[in-house]
Amino acid sequence: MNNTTAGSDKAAMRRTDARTRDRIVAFSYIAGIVAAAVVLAALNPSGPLGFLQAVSDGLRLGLIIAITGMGLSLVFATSGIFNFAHGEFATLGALVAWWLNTALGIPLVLTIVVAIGIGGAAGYGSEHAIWRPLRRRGVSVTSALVVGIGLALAARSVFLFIVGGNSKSYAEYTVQSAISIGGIDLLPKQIVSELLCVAVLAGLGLFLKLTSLGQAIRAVSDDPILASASGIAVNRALSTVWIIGGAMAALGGALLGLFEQVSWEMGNQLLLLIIAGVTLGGLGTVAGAVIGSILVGIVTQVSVLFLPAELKYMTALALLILILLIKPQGILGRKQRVG
Amino acid sequence: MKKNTAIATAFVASVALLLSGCAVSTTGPSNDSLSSLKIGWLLPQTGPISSLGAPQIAALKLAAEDIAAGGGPKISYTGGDEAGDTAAAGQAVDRMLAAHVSAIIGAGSSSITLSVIDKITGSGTLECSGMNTTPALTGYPDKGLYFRTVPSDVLQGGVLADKIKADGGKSVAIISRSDSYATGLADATVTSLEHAGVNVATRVDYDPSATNLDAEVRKVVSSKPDSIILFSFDEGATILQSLIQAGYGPDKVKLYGTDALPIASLAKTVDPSNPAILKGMTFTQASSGEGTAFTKRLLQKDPGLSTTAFSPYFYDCAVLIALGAEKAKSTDSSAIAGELVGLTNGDKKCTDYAQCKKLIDAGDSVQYVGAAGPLKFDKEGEPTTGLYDILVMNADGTTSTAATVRRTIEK
Repeated sequence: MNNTTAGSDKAAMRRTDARTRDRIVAFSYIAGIVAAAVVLAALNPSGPLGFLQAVSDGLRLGLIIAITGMGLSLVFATSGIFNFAHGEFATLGALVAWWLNTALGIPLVLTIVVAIGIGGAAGYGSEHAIWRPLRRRGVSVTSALVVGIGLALAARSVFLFIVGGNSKSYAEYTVQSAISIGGIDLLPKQIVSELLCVAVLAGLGLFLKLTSLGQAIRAVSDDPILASASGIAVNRALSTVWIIGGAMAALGGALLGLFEQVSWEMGNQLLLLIIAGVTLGGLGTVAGAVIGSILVGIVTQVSVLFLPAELKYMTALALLILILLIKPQGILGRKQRVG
Repeated sequence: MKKNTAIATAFVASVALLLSGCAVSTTGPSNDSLSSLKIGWLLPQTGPISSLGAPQIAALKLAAEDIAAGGGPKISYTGGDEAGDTAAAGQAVDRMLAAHVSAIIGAGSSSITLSVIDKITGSGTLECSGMNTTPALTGYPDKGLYFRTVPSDVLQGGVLADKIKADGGKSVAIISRSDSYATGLADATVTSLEHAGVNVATRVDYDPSATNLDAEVRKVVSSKPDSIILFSFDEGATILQSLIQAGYGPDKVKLYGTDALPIASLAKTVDPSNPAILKGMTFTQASSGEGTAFTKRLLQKDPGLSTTAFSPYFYDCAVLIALGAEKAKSTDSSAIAGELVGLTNGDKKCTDYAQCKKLIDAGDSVQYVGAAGPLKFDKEGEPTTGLYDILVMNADGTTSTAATVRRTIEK
């Protein structure tokens, strides 16, 4: 993404032009979706307020999908691994927060901080113990995929063994009374969760844009071999990505536990929505993953207003397929060079 | 499925071959008084519901004593452990079938029954369970050989509808898992509510694997109901949290649930800091037949039992099968099975084996009213009447039994 060497100015300009054009196209998709939303709002049986309420609930879910899924997207962009065990970082975060909160009575805010730390450590550990040795041995992408699936299954069994199959609640903030803003019900914990997600995502964006480590990560995601040849410490960048990914997923899982029950398979149940969200937005892009995840969150919630509730994930995944048919790289994804 | 059918067919064929070797001595009704009857039982001695196995086996022993004392055949049991495991249960069934039992009593768990019912009824053997409540067994292609003395969960729908009507509910919303248990129950409830003249404002069936149920709850709330029914497993806690946060807690609307919810821990899961959160929520629960005259007698005989849940229903299975053999004057499974529906629907009521046998010997048509009460089988061998407890949640998260009601399907 960044031109480290002084190349041809014209080429750089052409690339910038192309990127601007891509962005214009992407935002026209989004404008189209917003227009469709307005039409749906007018048609919907429970009135525009019911529609806005569904959008508000969807935004909350979408932001949690975005921070949980960001690591999946970044890991894929930098190392080419599609980590099917990513949802388990979210479960880990929620279980750590739940256990410290209910068994030891530590305030939830603190336990979430600890959960983020443990999530980051788990990300770092899995990179060093499993993924890096596999890469060094030249394991194929398909085999790595199977390793991920195996890891996910193993982690879920361990969670089930340790905490049991029943679902659990935190000791705090479980039931709150809603605040009505312009007729839309918002829970205090929802507002805090949404602000926190936005802050974390903005922070990640700034980190990737402004710091040298962030730029190194972007360089690796552009072209790992070129990045390595230009003296960038690829392994250091990858370790950072895994730490960020694990920590953010743990935060996402812990926040999800505020709105749903904490259980041994909650992360896995979220994985499909995560994959849909980050793929829809464009793998490897921060803004794309955010937009895609929010779309998935809102579409699943809104679809219940029109269609039987059993079909709500169908709607989100149908949207995914539709958008990929039109724009194979996702809403904000860059065109991949073929050949 | 095809593979299973093929295996079942092969099995039936081999059993038929085996039987043909000794058919001369065992089949064919004889006009002599029956001297003995072989019955198998498949009950949980180990596995997740193992605590229920011992009282059920004790009930079967008591039944055998009562039958012998009442002038009936000597019952010899062949037992097998269902073990909460379909493979183990299947092997146990093979053993019983090889011993040429006239009937198999069990299994305890509905899912174990579903895994062995083809094998048992496919071999032409009668099966009777006192604990299978799943609606999935209603209308099962069992060749008329599967019976149960405990009613299907579907009857609970009527109990709920009656309770809502009595509570003055006018507009009901239903939120229900999309699986065989909840869908069957929700269908039955909707029918009963409409029959009772109560409006069903909305019904939302949700994906059991869905993580987020907010949108479903919003849909329920937007219909502005005065009563809400949950047909849920433990995700019911999430739904209740969302309902309360949307302003539809038990202080504003009447909340109803069934025994599929983890009732004992529900309030604590919904809000650990406030056990009174669900105060007033109402639940229906299939009566396990505890606290009856029969269970008191069983406990006197066997004081070591930790529970007597479902034991009367299994007692009734054994007595009914013996009566069927008596009436048919045969130990042949299908001959016995042919008598059972009639034996629960006759003109003259009798409550134990000795009484019923006298009436049968006198040529009367009898209605066996067993340890768990009347059964009134429909033509498929399902009880059309059942006993239910109505529980109300207290401020400390425990429940009290508000009423025990008998529900009967009108024919």
